[in-house]
Amino acid sequence: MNIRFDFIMHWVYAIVWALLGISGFAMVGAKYGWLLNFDYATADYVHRLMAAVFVLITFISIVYEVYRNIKNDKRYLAWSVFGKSGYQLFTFITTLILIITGVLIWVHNGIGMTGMGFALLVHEYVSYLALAGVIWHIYVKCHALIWPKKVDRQSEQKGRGGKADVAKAMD
Amino acid sequence: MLNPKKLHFWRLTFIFGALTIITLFFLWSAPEARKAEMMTTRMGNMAQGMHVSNITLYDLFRDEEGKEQMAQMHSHHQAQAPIIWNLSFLTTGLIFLLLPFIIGGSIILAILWIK
Amino acid sequence: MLQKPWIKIFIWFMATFFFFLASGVIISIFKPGPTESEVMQFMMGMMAAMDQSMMGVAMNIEHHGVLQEVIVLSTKFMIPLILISTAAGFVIRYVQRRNDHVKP
Repeated sequence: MNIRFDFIMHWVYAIVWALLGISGFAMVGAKYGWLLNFDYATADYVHRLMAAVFVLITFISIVYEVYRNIKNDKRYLAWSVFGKSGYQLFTFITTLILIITGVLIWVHNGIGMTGMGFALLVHEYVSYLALAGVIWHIYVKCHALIWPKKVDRQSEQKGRGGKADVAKAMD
Repeated sequence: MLNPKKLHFWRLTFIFGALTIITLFFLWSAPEARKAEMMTTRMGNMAQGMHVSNITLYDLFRDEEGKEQMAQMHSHHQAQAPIIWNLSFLTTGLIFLLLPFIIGGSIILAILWIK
Repeated sequence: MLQKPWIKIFIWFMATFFFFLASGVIISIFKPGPTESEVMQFMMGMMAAMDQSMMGVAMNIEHHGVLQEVIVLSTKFMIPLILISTAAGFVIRYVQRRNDHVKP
């Protein structure tokens, strides 16, 4: 099986974003608590752990992009999390804003309560924006939801391991 | 008008939109469960004072500033397990060490990507 | 890869989850204001988080010597790294442009 680096990064990013989303939205306020049954402790735990993973993934993706630029690799990677245009650029900007405001919230002793409130406000609204962006992304990439046809599956089983399979895997 | 390729998206949208509207309808038509009038503890009073409007996290933090005593109390009564200390140390260290590199890398990418 | 059934199931799961997340946020925003019991539960949860989760540890981060040093170190890193990366960005850009000129 041919698995590409950017494919893996895309889905790891998606899983981490989903966990951060559910745990973060459960902490926004009293109206949102029902999302995780008011279990603030678990939400906080998951959010902080996943934040570290999120920062790590962002770091790896940025290093990968910089490496590709140094290599002068101008190919367009469809699965890449960050990129120079379109939804990839949107993801890049929202991720940076979320990480920076998140770090400010993390050290709320240092920036005072006004800065804290501002950082939380930005963090919350940018996450709504990013969630809307995810729904838009699902709309654009909706063809991925179409179930493979039976005929295709049979032919796939027939030609397992063949060149056609690899070509399909690169799709 | 409906692109058959987008059919699954619209299916999900309609299902979740209908669920959202039904849930909101039942929530608004439910008898109001506020004003318990039984809160005599300090927590209850605090909550009642903030009950006036939509409460979000920053309100809670802002309120906590006034309640310096409580913060003191909580910083002295730490009952965390060692694993939480270690995880907190690891995550905080990782985030703070990687942050400058993320900012630096994004500056490089910004310079490279701007035409 | 994208045609495998288990990947399809996974994609469906993720898409449904994000839809759930979006509808949860919409319901939370537009539902009737927080009731007494909700606020109570939320505050209790927050107190529990301060006691049991990392929130309490992060709150008195200033008593943790090593972490304080890490933060100071990363703050020291910040400005030189910004300068270095600005320079590196222009250098890479310049090299790329020169290569583009040389190639054809």
